[in-house]
Amino acid sequence: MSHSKKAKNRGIALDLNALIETSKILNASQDLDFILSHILRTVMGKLLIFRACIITCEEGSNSFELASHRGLKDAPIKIKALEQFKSQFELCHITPIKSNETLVGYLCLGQKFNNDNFSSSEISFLDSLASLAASAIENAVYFRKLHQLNQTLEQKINQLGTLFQLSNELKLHKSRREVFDPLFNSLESQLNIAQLLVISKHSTASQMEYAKNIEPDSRLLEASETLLNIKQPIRLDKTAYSLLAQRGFQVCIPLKTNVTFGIVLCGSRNPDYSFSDPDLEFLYLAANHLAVALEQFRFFDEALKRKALEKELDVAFDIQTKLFPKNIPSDDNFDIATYYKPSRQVGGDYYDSFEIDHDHIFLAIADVTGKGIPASLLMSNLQALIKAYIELIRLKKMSLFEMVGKINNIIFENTSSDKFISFFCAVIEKSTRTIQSVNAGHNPPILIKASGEICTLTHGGIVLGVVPTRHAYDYESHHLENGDLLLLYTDGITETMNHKREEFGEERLIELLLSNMDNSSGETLDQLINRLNDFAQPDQQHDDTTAICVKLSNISD
Amino acid sequence: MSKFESRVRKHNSLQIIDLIGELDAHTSLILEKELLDLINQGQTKIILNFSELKYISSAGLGVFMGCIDDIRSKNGDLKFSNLSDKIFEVFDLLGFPHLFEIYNHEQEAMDKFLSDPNTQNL
Repeated sequence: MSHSKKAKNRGIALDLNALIETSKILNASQDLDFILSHILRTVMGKLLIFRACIITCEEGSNSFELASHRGLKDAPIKIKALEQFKSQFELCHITPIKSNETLVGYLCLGQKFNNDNFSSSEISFLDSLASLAASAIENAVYFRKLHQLNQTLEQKINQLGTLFQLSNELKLHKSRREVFDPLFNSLESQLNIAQLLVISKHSTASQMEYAKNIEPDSRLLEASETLLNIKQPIRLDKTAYSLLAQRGFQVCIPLKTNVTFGIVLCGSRNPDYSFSDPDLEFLYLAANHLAVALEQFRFFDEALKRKALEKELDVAFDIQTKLFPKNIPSDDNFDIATYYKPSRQVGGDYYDSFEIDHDHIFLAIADVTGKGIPASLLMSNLQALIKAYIELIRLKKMSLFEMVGKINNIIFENTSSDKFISFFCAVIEKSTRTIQSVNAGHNPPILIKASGEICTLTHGGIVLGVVPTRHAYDYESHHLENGDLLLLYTDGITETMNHKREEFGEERLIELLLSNMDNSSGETLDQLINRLNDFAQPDQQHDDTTAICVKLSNISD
Repeated sequence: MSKFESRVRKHNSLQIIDLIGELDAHTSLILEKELLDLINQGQTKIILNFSELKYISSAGLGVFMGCIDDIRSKNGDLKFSNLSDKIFEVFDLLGFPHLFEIYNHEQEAMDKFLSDPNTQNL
């Protein structure tokens, strides 16, 4: 009895010894493999077992892995069918390994050497070892997670460093072309990117803006057409984007601020590299830096162009204003008023009126094609020509229609055929009260006789500047009487539109003139402008609006 | 630092390993590697001389359990000799004498191997 009692005590002491040793190892080692194999050695030595293993299972999954084993020949590491594995290796005693009630694995044992059943003290010994194994497995999982987290953090810090460097470099560059190399360098150093293609989207066609280590081939442009509207980075599917994939591109990142205005195609040096989500995130951030830089260049270019345009418009406006007459020859008999309102952009209307001599008044109105400086220069050319030839008219060495013919030839020779001038000019002889006019393709001025007769002054010829003068321009003469009204105008008046998109038109114009037969020319124009303002829809972009009104006064009768 | 050491002596086709010091959780690994290396070389007739071993833990005993099937399947064996009383008591308590041949002297273990027809053929 005393011998078996002593033996029993020795057995308990051995159990405790084994458990203490195991827990010491657990505290001292991070090496899961060593800890688990130690547990197996302890169990096998203690319980005389030839085969033992520890199987771990991933949290919430059905996949098992052989974490440590002894005495199992040619056992697979990945275990698909647990039951089959147990019977194959004759593992008959299974102790679950639980961490906080979550199953993390099994301690599997073969038969004892003598095929005895496990005693209750042996089973509680196994339970104790299993709980130690659970701690070890849990620790190892945490350790691995921590390690991964550390790696991710390190990678993030590295990426941020690269991005910071990139944004600094992009700030230093002065031209659009210079921003792509720093991007490539960042991607190369961070993700081993070997080739890069930047495609920018334009309203008409997209265009390859930068190609590094890839031949910029127009087929690439076609193949990436469907990618031009992506909003997030994507991995290029090898079947959907076969051409791009064949040429080594693996991912596509949008260049966008508010909308996507281009894409960056990348390929790694390693053709089998699979881009992780953090990789794509990094590429997206890097591309964003580039996008901002490109947008800044674009804004800057636009600002420069706008500045240039504003400057041009200022100059044009200046030229134009100087062309218009400062004094209108108006007296008690010939009451002349003018109205001119330029559109927001400088337009191409021109008018003039001056005394040739004490008996003759010159009137002209014109509309030059185009806008801005070119139109202004053409206008000032026209004015110069008139001023030169009018001297010959004053000396009666040239007639009005001849002058128009001459001016046409000069304008034709000096301008491209898409530039032309609609032009009307007239000379009023005060003493005889006659008006002689030539109309070169301009809106026919309206002459309303005091009697109520209405005529339009249409005689003349083609607009100035399109063909050389082969036939002389035609002209017409009218006798003027007290109360007659003459209106010269540009299409800005008749083409004013209302909210129904109806033009003001000649009919309304004549109607208005008829109701103003007793008013002065100034009053008539005021009425006309008010009527037009009422007619036009608010905020409408106006064309130039120009009118000259001549009234033969009743007063002198 | 090292609490354990093992020395391998060759005697014809026999491998005799002297175990020196303490076989605990850590040092068991050393012995396990030693035995696996011998098995891989095809040397499966092994005598372990315990004369200089001071301590053996359950894990140390587990090393023998883990490889004995493999050794015997290759016509080899693991025989023990020169155990101190204290260590024999542990072996006895756990039932090792049922599984392994234990001899007082190394020579007896050698003689047993040599009398085996498999060994003589070698």
